[in-house]
Parts: sequence; structure tokens; C-alpha cells
Amino acid sequence: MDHFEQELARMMRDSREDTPYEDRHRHRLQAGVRARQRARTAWMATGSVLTVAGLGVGLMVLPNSFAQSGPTGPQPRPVTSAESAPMPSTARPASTAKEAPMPTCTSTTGPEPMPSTDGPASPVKPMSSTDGPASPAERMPMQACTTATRPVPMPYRPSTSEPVPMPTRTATTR
Amino acid sequence: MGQLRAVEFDRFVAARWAALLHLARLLTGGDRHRAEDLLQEALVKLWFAWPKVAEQAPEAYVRRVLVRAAARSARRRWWGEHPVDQLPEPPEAGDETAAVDERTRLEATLALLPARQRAAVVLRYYQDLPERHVAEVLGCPVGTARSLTARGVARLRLLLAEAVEPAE
Repeated sequence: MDHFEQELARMMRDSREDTPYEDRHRHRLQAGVRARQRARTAWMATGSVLTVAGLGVGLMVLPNSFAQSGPTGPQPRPVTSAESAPMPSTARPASTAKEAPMPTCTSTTGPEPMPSTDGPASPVKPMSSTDGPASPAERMPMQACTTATRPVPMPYRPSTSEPVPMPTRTATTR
Repeated sequence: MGQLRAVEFDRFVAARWAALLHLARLLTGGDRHRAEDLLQEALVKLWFAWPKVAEQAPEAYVRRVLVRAAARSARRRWWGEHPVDQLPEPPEAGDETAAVDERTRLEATLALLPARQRAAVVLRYYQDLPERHVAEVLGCPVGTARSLTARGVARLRLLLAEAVEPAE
């Protein structure tokens, strides 16, 4: 810092006036603070109103735009559960089920009849949709085929009210 | 809480009013009314920032606001400043009021500088800030602040020399 710069710094410091902080300065400053406070409040209120208005308009316009565009995807198929529907295939009409029963249960892969000791009193009848639900196996054949976790009911069970004796080896020897 | 804030703020303003007003006068080139306007604007901003800066450096905050407001107002409005070849009404040699008029001469020469050069010179030589802080207040790189200060001092050297020894 050369002589001129030192002199410049001195001049800047010495030229300072002692101006006290008077009441008029204080009142003017307080008025400025209040004015700015009002301006800030008005600005924030305006911003809040505009924000709420924008959200309201957006919430009104968006559902209308979705409704006008319409469904773009394929029609959803009716959802049916396996227990309530007689046929696992929803594409096949119900009238054709009588004409063509499920081949998995009536075909050669069906369950073989258990050996019965009661004689030929209850011969095993093949499943037929025209005979009606004579046996429990015929009453719910589709359910047995479609539900994997459930045990398959015995197709040879007679439709009697008496309890069926267990097919044991001792019963057959009597 | 608000009362305590008001008391602390008022105490700070009362203690630093004279120094801040002098800084504002130097930044405005001696315009007293404009300096008061700028100082009030800076202090109003300080009031709203007081909870944040009260414990740190409120005077530095006011200084930064003052410098930027002075530069902005110099760009925004014509304050009657226009460069001239010679200082108007230079003090006569041997005048008894020469010491009193020294402030006027200094402010008149400062008024001839561009706003950013004036701010750089005032911050560097009146506030005695290092170049890095001058650059921070001005919002520019250190090299720019150094350049502004050097050019301002060179211009002041020329103007003040002409004022003391007016060219015939």
C-alpha cells in the first residue's frame, strides 16, 4: 500500500460524520418494516390462493380427460372362482358342458374303483351328464378336477344315508 | 420473543448507524438522501433476516445488501452522475475549510467512478476487507475484484491529483 492508498484510507475514515440514530430514523425504519410485512403477507396469500386454485383446476380437469379418452385396453373377462363355476374354462359356454364333459375325469385316466366287499350292489357307473347327480362324484366332478389341493372324492360311494364302512381287509373276509 | 428481537435489533442499529450511514454515503458517492434510502432498505431486510444472522455477522449482512443495492440503484436510475474532465468547484488552496471540504472532495471523486469500482475501493480501503471478502461481497471472482480495485484507485489517483493541483 503506497502513500496515496494510505492517504485514501485515511480520508475515507476521517470523513465520517457523527450522525446519531434519531427517532425519525427509528419511526421510518418501523414503517418500512410494517410495509414490507404487509407486502410479504399479501404475496404469500396470493401465492396460496393461486396454488389452491391450480390444484382445484387440475383435479377437475384430469378426471375429465381420463373419462374422455375412454378404455383403451381389451374388455376384462368376468372373474369367476373355481368353486362357484361349474367349468374351469370361462370361454366355453355352459350348455356345451353337458354335451362334452371334462375329459380328464371321464377318460381312462380317471380314478379306478376301489375293491368293494359289499358285492355288486353299487356298480360303478361311468360319469354321464344325462343321468343327473346320482353320486357325489357326479355331483362335483369338475371341482375334483380343478382343485388340486383337495382330496378327490370317491366315485363309487353309494348314495345312502348310512355311513359307509371303511374298506378294510377284515371286512372282506367275513 | 418478538420484544427481545426488537430490542436487540434496535440496539444494533443504534450502535452501528453512523458507520453504516457513512459506508452508504461512500457507496453512493456522497448522496446523503440516497444513502439513507439504501440503508433503510438494508436494515428492513436485516430485520426479517435477524433470527438467522443476529448471532453471526449482522453488519456483514448489511454491508452486502448495501453494496448490491447501491450497484442496482446506480444501474436502475440516473442519479445525476456524469463523468467530467475536471472536478466541479475544487477547493481553493489554503482555504480554512479545506479540511472540512476534504470529505466533499472525496465523495465527489468517488461519484465519478463506476458503481462496482467505487464499491471495490470503499470495501478495500474503508472497510479494510481482504480481496477475498471484497470478491464475496461483490459476488465476483477474486481477480475481478482485484482488477476493479486497481482501476478505481488509479482513477482516484488521477482525479484527486487534478483536484489538488488543477490543470491550468
